[in-house]
Amino acid sequence: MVEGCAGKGEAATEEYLATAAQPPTAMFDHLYAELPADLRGQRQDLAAAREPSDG
Amino acid sequence: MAEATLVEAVRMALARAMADDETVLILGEDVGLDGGVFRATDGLIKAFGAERVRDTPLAEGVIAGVSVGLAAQGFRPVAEIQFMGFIYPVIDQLVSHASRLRNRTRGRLTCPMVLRAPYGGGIGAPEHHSESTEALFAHIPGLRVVIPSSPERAYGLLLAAIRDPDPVVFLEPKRIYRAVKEEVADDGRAQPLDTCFVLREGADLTLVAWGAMTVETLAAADALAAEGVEAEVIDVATLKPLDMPAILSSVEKTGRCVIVQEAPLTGGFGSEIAARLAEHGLLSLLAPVQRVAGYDTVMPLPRLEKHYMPDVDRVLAAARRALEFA
Repeated sequence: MVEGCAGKGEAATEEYLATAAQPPTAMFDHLYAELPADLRGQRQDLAAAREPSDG
Repeated sequence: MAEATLVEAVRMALARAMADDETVLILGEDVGLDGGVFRATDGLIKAFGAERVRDTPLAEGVIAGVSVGLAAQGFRPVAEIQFMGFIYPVIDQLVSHASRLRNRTRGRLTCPMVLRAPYGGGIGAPEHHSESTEALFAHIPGLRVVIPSSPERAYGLLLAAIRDPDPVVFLEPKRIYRAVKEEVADDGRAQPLDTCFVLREGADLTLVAWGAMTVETLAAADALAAEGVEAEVIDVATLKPLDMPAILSSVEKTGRCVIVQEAPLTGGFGSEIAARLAEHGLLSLLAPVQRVAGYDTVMPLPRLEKHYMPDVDRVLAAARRALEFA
Protein backbone atom coordinates (compact mmCIF):
# COMPACT_ATOMS: atom_id res chain seq x y z
CA MET A 1 0.00 0.00 0.00
CA VAL A 2 2.85 2.36 0.88
CA GLU A 3 4.55 1.66 -2.44
CA GLY A 4 1.25 2.24 -4.21
CA CYS A 5 0.72 5.59 -2.51
CA ALA A 6 4.29 6.66 -3.20
CA GLY A 7 3.79 5.75 -6.84
CA LYS A 8 0.63 7.80 -7.07
CA GLY A 9 2.36 10.72 -5.44
CA GLU A 10 5.28 10.54 -7.86
CA ALA A 11 2.94 10.29 -10.83
CA ALA A 12 1.01 13.33 -9.65
CA THR A 13 4.26 15.26 -9.16
CA GLU A 14 5.47 14.39 -12.65
CA GLU A 15 2.12 15.36 -14.12
CA TYR A 16 2.32 18.73 -12.39
CA LEU A 17 5.90 19.37 -13.49
CA ALA A 18 5.00 18.44 -17.05
CA THR A 19 2.09 20.89 -17.07
CA ALA A 20 2.97 24.18 -18.70
CA ALA A 21 2.71 27.21 -16.44
CA GLN A 22 -0.19 29.51 -17.07
CA PRO A 23 0.61 33.02 -18.27
CA PRO A 24 0.85 35.56 -15.44
CA THR A 25 -2.30 37.21 -16.71
CA ALA A 26 -4.19 34.08 -15.69
CA MET A 27 -4.47 35.59 -12.23
CA PHE A 28 -7.00 37.99 -13.73
CA ASP A 29 -9.01 35.18 -15.29
CA HIS A 30 -12.12 34.09 -13.43
CA LEU A 31 -11.90 37.00 -11.01
CA TYR A 32 -15.31 38.22 -12.09
CA ALA A 33 -17.65 36.94 -14.78
CA GLU A 34 -16.30 39.76 -16.92
CA LEU A 35 -13.13 41.61 -15.96
CA PRO A 36 -14.20 45.13 -14.90
CA ALA A 37 -12.80 48.10 -16.76
CA ASP A 38 -11.09 49.20 -13.55
CA LEU A 39 -8.84 46.13 -13.65
CA ARG A 40 -8.01 45.96 -17.33
CA GLY A 41 -5.16 48.44 -16.93
CA GLN A 42 -3.54 46.28 -14.27
CA ARG A 43 -3.83 43.23 -16.49
CA GLN A 44 -2.29 45.11 -19.40
CA ASP A 45 0.57 46.32 -17.21
CA LEU A 46 1.27 42.77 -16.12
CA ALA A 47 1.12 41.46 -19.67
CA ALA A 48 3.59 44.11 -20.79
CA ALA A 49 6.00 43.67 -17.89
CA ARG A 50 6.25 39.94 -17.44
CA GLU A 51 7.47 36.97 -19.38
CA PRO A 52 5.93 33.56 -18.64
CA SER A 53 8.07 31.38 -16.38
CA ASP A 54 7.84 27.92 -14.85
CA GLY A 55 7.22 27.75 -11.13
CA MET B 1 -45.50 56.88 -10.19
CA ALA B 2 -45.43 56.27 -6.47
CA GLU B 3 -42.99 57.91 -4.13
CA ALA B 4 -40.82 55.76 -1.93
CA THR B 5 -38.21 56.14 0.74
CA LEU B 6 -34.85 54.42 0.36
CA VAL B 7 -35.87 51.48 2.56
CA GLU B 8 -39.17 51.16 0.70
CA ALA B 9 -37.24 51.15 -2.56
CA VAL B 10 -35.08 48.33 -1.21
CA ARG B 11 -38.22 46.35 -0.43
CA MET B 12 -39.62 47.09 -3.87
CA ALA B 13 -36.45 45.84 -5.51
CA LEU B 14 -36.40 42.68 -3.42
CA ALA B 15 -40.04 41.97 -4.27
CA ARG B 16 -39.43 42.61 -7.94
CA ALA B 17 -36.36 40.38 -8.01
CA MET B 18 -38.19 37.58 -6.23
CA ALA B 19 -41.19 37.85 -8.55
CA ASP B 20 -38.98 37.74 -11.62
CA ASP B 21 -36.62 34.98 -10.54
CA GLU B 22 -37.60 32.04 -8.38
CA THR B 23 -33.97 31.38 -7.48
CA VAL B 24 -33.82 34.61 -5.45
CA LEU B 25 -34.03 33.90 -1.73
CA ILE B 26 -33.86 36.16 1.27
CA LEU B 27 -32.30 35.15 4.56
CA GLY B 28 -31.26 36.90 7.70
CA GLU B 29 -32.22 37.68 11.26
CA ASP B 30 -35.81 38.84 11.64
CA VAL B 31 -36.28 39.28 7.89
CA GLY B 32 -39.28 36.97 7.70
CA LEU B 33 -41.99 37.22 10.33
CA ASP B 34 -40.75 40.58 11.61
CA GLY B 35 -40.12 42.04 8.17
CA GLY B 36 -36.66 43.24 9.15
CA VAL B 37 -35.70 45.66 11.89
CA PHE B 38 -35.90 48.49 9.38
CA ARG B 39 -38.84 46.89 7.54
CA ALA B 40 -36.78 46.33 4.40
CA THR B 41 -38.36 42.90 3.94
CA ASP B 42 -41.82 43.72 5.30
CA GLY B 43 -44.51 41.60 3.70
CA LEU B 44 -42.18 39.49 1.61
CA ILE B 45 -42.70 36.29 3.58
CA LYS B 46 -46.44 36.66 3.04
CA ALA B 47 -45.94 37.25 -0.66
CA PHE B 48 -43.35 34.60 -1.35
CA GLY B 49 -43.54 32.11 1.51
CA ALA B 50 -41.27 30.92 4.26
CA GLU B 51 -39.26 28.73 1.89
CA ARG B 52 -37.92 31.80 0.13
CA VAL B 53 -37.83 34.29 3.01
CA ARG B 54 -36.03 32.63 5.86
CA ASP B 55 -35.43 33.74 9.41
CA THR B 56 -32.01 32.59 10.49
CA PRO B 57 -30.38 32.05 13.84
CA LEU B 58 -28.42 34.92 15.32
CA ALA B 59 -25.24 33.76 13.60
CA GLU B 60 -23.81 35.99 10.91
CA GLY B 61 -21.12 33.55 9.86
CA VAL B 62 -23.81 30.96 9.25
CA ILE B 63 -25.88 33.43 7.24
CA ALA B 64 -22.92 34.16 5.00
CA GLY B 65 -21.75 30.57 4.75
CA VAL B 66 -25.20 29.29 3.85
CA SER B 67 -25.44 32.05 1.25
CA VAL B 68 -22.16 30.96 -0.32
CA GLY B 69 -23.43 27.41 -0.51
CA LEU B 70 -26.77 28.42 -1.95
CA ALA B 71 -25.14 30.64 -4.54
CA ALA B 72 -22.74 27.91 -5.58
CA GLN B 73 -25.70 25.61 -6.14
CA GLY B 74 -27.63 27.93 -8.44
CA PHE B 75 -29.63 30.13 -6.12
CA ARG B 76 -29.37 33.91 -5.77
CA PRO B 77 -29.41 34.52 -2.05
CA VAL B 78 -29.86 38.02 -0.71
CA ALA B 79 -28.63 37.87 2.85
CA GLU B 80 -29.22 40.63 5.36
CA ILE B 81 -26.76 41.40 8.10
CA GLN B 82 -28.80 43.39 10.54
CA PHE B 83 -26.23 46.12 11.15
CA MET B 84 -22.80 46.61 9.67
CA GLY B 85 -21.40 46.34 13.17
CA PHE B 86 -22.32 42.67 13.11
CA ILE B 87 -20.74 41.96 9.74
CA TYR B 88 -17.25 41.09 10.88
CA PRO B 89 -17.88 37.35 11.41
CA VAL B 90 -18.92 37.32 7.77
CA ILE B 91 -15.57 38.50 6.50
CA ASP B 92 -14.07 35.02 6.54
CA GLN B 93 -16.83 33.73 4.27
CA LEU B 94 -16.46 36.70 1.96
CA VAL B 95 -12.69 36.70 1.75
CA SER B 96 -12.02 32.98 1.85
CA HIS B 97 -14.94 31.80 -0.27
CA ALA B 98 -17.49 34.15 -1.83
CA SER B 99 -14.97 36.46 -3.46
CA ARG B 100 -12.73 33.71 -4.79
CA LEU B 101 -15.00 30.78 -5.54
CA ARG B 102 -15.02 31.59 -9.23
CA ASN B 103 -11.27 32.02 -9.25
CA ARG B 104 -10.58 28.90 -7.22
CA THR B 105 -12.69 26.69 -9.47
CA ARG B 106 -11.67 28.50 -12.68
CA GLY B 107 -15.29 29.36 -13.32
CA ARG B 108 -16.81 25.98 -12.54
CA LEU B 109 -18.54 27.42 -9.48
CA THR B 110 -19.71 30.99 -9.04
CA CYS B 111 -21.15 32.95 -6.17
CA PRO B 112 -23.98 35.29 -7.21
CA MET B 113 -24.93 36.39 -3.74
CA VAL B 114 -25.80 39.78 -2.29
CA LEU B 115 -24.97 40.70 1.26
CA ARG B 116 -27.08 43.66 2.38
CA ALA B 117 -26.38 45.64 5.50
CA PRO B 118 -27.62 48.93 6.93
CA TYR B 119 -24.52 51.00 7.60
CA GLY B 120 -23.35 54.33 8.87
CA GLY B 121 -24.12 56.58 11.81
CA GLY B 122 -26.28 59.55 12.53
CA ILE B 123 -29.23 57.78 14.15
CA GLY B 124 -28.10 58.00 17.76
CA ALA B 125 -27.57 54.29 18.08
CA PRO B 126 -25.56 52.35 20.66
CA GLU B 127 -22.17 50.85 19.96
CA HIS B 128 -21.79 48.55 16.91
CA HIS B 129 -24.77 50.12 15.15
CA SER B 130 -23.09 53.01 13.34
CA GLU B 131 -20.16 51.51 11.50
CA SER B 132 -18.72 52.73 8.21
CA THR B 133 -16.06 50.23 7.30
CA GLU B 134 -16.79 49.91 3.60
CA ALA B 135 -13.08 50.15 2.86
CA LEU B 136 -12.55 46.68 4.32
CA PHE B 137 -14.73 45.17 1.61
CA ALA B 138 -13.40 47.37 -1.16
CA HIS B 139 -9.99 45.84 -0.46
CA ILE B 140 -11.15 42.30 -1.33
CA PRO B 141 -10.51 41.10 -4.90
CA GLY B 142 -13.51 39.52 -6.53
CA LEU B 143 -16.16 41.50 -4.63
CA ARG B 144 -18.32 44.38 -5.67
CA VAL B 145 -19.16 47.05 -3.10
CA VAL B 146 -22.21 49.15 -3.84
CA ILE B 147 -23.69 51.99 -1.81
CA PRO B 148 -26.87 53.75 -2.94
CA SER B 149 -27.54 57.37 -2.09
CA SER B 150 -31.22 57.75 -2.92
CA PRO B 151 -34.41 55.69 -3.23
CA GLU B 152 -34.23 55.51 -6.99
CA ARG B 153 -30.59 54.52 -6.89
CA ALA B 154 -31.29 51.90 -4.19
CA TYR B 155 -33.97 50.27 -6.33
CA GLY B 156 -31.97 50.14 -9.52
CA LEU B 157 -28.61 49.25 -7.99
CA LEU B 158 -30.04 46.51 -5.79
CA LEU B 159 -31.70 44.92 -8.81
CA ALA B 160 -28.38 45.09 -10.62
CA ALA B 161 -26.61 43.57 -7.63
CA ILE B 162 -29.05 40.68 -7.40
CA ARG B 163 -28.72 39.97 -11.11
CA ASP B 164 -24.94 40.23 -11.07
CA PRO B 165 -23.12 36.91 -11.46
CA ASP B 166 -20.61 37.85 -8.77
CA PRO B 167 -20.88 38.56 -5.03
CA VAL B 168 -21.96 42.06 -4.05
CA VAL B 169 -21.80 43.77 -0.68
CA PHE B 170 -24.70 46.23 -0.72
CA LEU B 171 -24.44 48.80 2.05
CA GLU B 172 -27.53 50.86 2.78
CA PRO B 173 -27.03 54.23 4.48
CA LYS B 174 -29.61 53.88 7.20
CA ARG B 175 -29.48 57.54 8.22
CA ILE B 176 -31.32 58.32 5.00
CA TYR B 177 -33.52 55.24 4.97
CA ARG B 178 -36.56 57.45 5.49
CA ALA B 179 -35.13 60.94 5.08
CA VAL B 180 -36.16 61.42 1.49
CA LYS B 181 -39.09 60.31 -0.61
CA GLU B 182 -38.90 60.40 -4.36
CA GLU B 183 -40.61 58.80 -7.29
CA VAL B 184 -39.38 55.27 -7.91
CA ALA B 185 -40.73 53.38 -10.89
CA ASP B 186 -41.23 49.72 -10.06
CA ASP B 187 -40.35 48.75 -13.59
CA GLY B 188 -37.64 46.21 -12.96
CA ARG B 189 -34.95 48.36 -14.52
CA ALA B 190 -31.50 48.02 -13.04
CA GLN B 191 -29.03 50.87 -12.83
CA PRO B 192 -25.47 50.33 -13.99
CA LEU B 193 -22.90 48.99 -11.57
CA ASP B 194 -19.27 50.06 -11.74
CA THR B 195 -20.44 53.58 -12.61
CA CYS B 196 -20.27 56.94 -10.86
CA PHE B 197 -23.25 59.27 -11.15
CA VAL B 198 -22.99 63.02 -11.57
CA LEU B 199 -25.60 64.47 -9.23
CA ARG B 200 -24.82 68.09 -10.03
CA GLU B 201 -22.67 69.60 -12.76
CA GLY B 202 -20.16 72.31 -12.13
CA ALA B 203 -16.86 73.65 -13.40
CA ASP B 204 -15.15 75.09 -10.32
CA LEU B 205 -14.73 72.19 -7.92
CA THR B 206 -15.32 68.43 -7.80
CA LEU B 207 -17.01 67.03 -4.72
CA VAL B 208 -16.90 63.23 -4.45
CA ALA B 209 -19.09 61.35 -1.99
CA TRP B 210 -21.19 58.21 -1.53
CA GLY B 211 -24.08 57.04 0.57
CA ALA B 212 -25.56 59.45 3.09
CA MET B 213 -22.69 61.90 2.70
CA THR B 214 -24.15 62.91 -0.64
CA VAL B 215 -26.76 64.83 1.38
CA GLU B 216 -24.21 67.07 3.09
CA THR B 217 -22.19 67.30 -0.12
CA LEU B 218 -25.15 68.52 -2.16
CA ALA B 219 -26.02 71.01 0.59
CA ALA B 220 -22.46 72.31 0.49
CA ALA B 221 -22.71 72.63 -3.29
CA ASP B 222 -25.87 74.70 -2.84
CA ALA B 223 -24.09 76.97 -0.36
CA LEU B 224 -21.15 77.38 -2.71
CA ALA B 225 -23.45 78.21 -5.59
CA ALA B 226 -24.85 81.10 -3.57
CA GLU B 227 -21.26 82.39 -3.47
CA GLY B 228 -20.84 81.98 -7.20
CA VAL B 229 -18.90 78.72 -7.04
CA GLU B 230 -20.28 75.88 -9.12
CA ALA B 231 -19.34 72.52 -7.67
CA GLU B 232 -19.74 69.25 -9.49
CA VAL B 233 -21.02 66.51 -7.21
CA ILE B 234 -20.17 62.91 -8.00
CA ASP B 235 -21.86 59.96 -6.32
CA VAL B 236 -19.40 57.07 -6.46
CA ALA B 237 -22.17 54.46 -5.89
CA THR B 238 -19.98 51.46 -6.77
CA LEU B 239 -16.82 51.71 -4.71
CA LYS B 240 -15.40 48.56 -6.21
CA PRO B 241 -14.79 48.32 -9.10
CA LEU B 242 -14.30 52.08 -9.16
CA ASP B 243 -15.28 54.27 -12.10
CA MET B 244 -12.17 56.39 -11.84
CA PRO B 245 -12.43 57.82 -15.37
CA ALA B 246 -15.57 59.69 -14.31
CA ILE B 247 -13.75 61.32 -11.39
CA LEU B 248 -10.67 62.09 -13.48
CA SER B 249 -12.83 63.65 -16.16
CA SER B 250 -14.45 65.92 -13.61
CA VAL B 251 -11.15 66.95 -12.03
CA GLU B 252 -9.72 67.62 -15.47
CA LYS B 253 -12.51 70.18 -15.80
CA THR B 254 -12.40 71.70 -12.30
CA GLY B 255 -8.82 71.22 -11.11
CA ARG B 256 -9.88 70.85 -7.49
CA CYS B 257 -11.29 67.95 -5.54
CA VAL B 258 -12.81 67.31 -2.14
CA ILE B 259 -13.63 63.75 -1.12
CA VAL B 260 -16.28 63.33 1.57
CA GLN B 261 -16.61 60.13 3.56
CA GLU B 262 -18.30 59.33 6.84
CA ALA B 263 -15.78 56.59 7.57
CA PRO B 264 -12.66 57.22 9.63
CA LEU B 265 -9.95 59.10 7.74
CA THR B 266 -7.05 56.68 7.78
CA GLY B 267 -7.34 53.84 5.30
CA GLY B 268 -10.75 55.00 4.19
CA PHE B 269 -11.89 54.61 0.63
CA GLY B 270 -11.26 58.29 0.00
CA SER B 271 -7.57 57.49 0.29
CA GLU B 272 -7.81 55.24 -2.75
CA ILE B 273 -9.48 57.96 -4.79
CA ALA B 274 -6.91 60.53 -3.66
CA ALA B 275 -4.03 58.20 -4.55
CA ARG B 276 -5.42 57.55 -8.00
CA LEU B 277 -5.87 61.29 -8.55
CA ALA B 278 -2.22 61.75 -7.67
CA GLU B 279 -1.20 58.95 -10.04
CA HIS B 280 -3.38 59.80 -13.00
CA GLY B 281 -4.70 63.32 -12.49
CA LEU B 282 -1.78 65.24 -11.03
CA LEU B 283 -1.41 67.58 -13.96
CA SER B 284 -5.07 68.53 -13.72
CA LEU B 285 -4.90 69.48 -10.05
CA LEU B 286 -4.64 73.14 -9.05
CA ALA B 287 -4.72 72.35 -5.33
CA PRO B 288 -4.07 69.36 -3.06
CA VAL B 289 -6.92 66.89 -2.84
CA GLN B 290 -8.91 67.51 0.32
CA ARG B 291 -10.54 64.78 2.37
CA VAL B 292 -13.42 65.31 4.78
CA ALA B 293 -13.86 62.26 6.94
CA GLY B 294 -14.80 60.88 10.29
CA TYR B 295 -12.10 61.01 12.92
CA ASP B 296 -9.89 58.01 13.56
CA THR B 297 -11.92 57.09 16.61
CA VAL B 298 -14.59 54.62 17.47
CA MET B 299 -17.91 56.14 16.46
CA PRO B 300 -18.96 57.92 19.66
CA LEU B 301 -22.20 57.32 21.44
CA PRO B 302 -25.16 59.61 20.69
CA ARG B 303 -24.23 62.68 22.69
CA LEU B 304 -20.99 63.17 20.78
CA GLU B 305 -22.08 61.70 17.47
CA LYS B 306 -22.78 65.05 15.81
CA HIS B 307 -19.21 66.13 16.53
CA TYR B 308 -17.90 63.08 14.70
CA MET B 309 -20.12 63.16 11.65
CA PRO B 310 -18.81 65.24 8.75
CA ASP B 311 -21.23 68.11 8.27
CA VAL B 312 -21.83 70.83 5.72
CA ASP B 313 -19.50 73.26 7.48
CA ARG B 314 -16.59 70.81 7.30
CA VAL B 315 -17.25 70.17 3.63
CA LEU B 316 -17.37 73.91 2.98
CA ALA B 317 -14.12 74.45 4.89
CA ALA B 318 -12.39 71.83 2.77
CA ALA B 319 -13.87 73.31 -0.39
CA ARG B 320 -12.51 76.73 0.53
CA ARG B 321 -9.06 75.28 1.22
CA ALA B 322 -9.09 73.79 -2.26
CA LEU B 323 -10.43 76.93 -3.89
CA GLU B 324 -8.12 79.35 -2.09
CA PHE B 325 -4.93 77.33 -2.55
CA ALA B 326 -2.38 79.59 -4.14
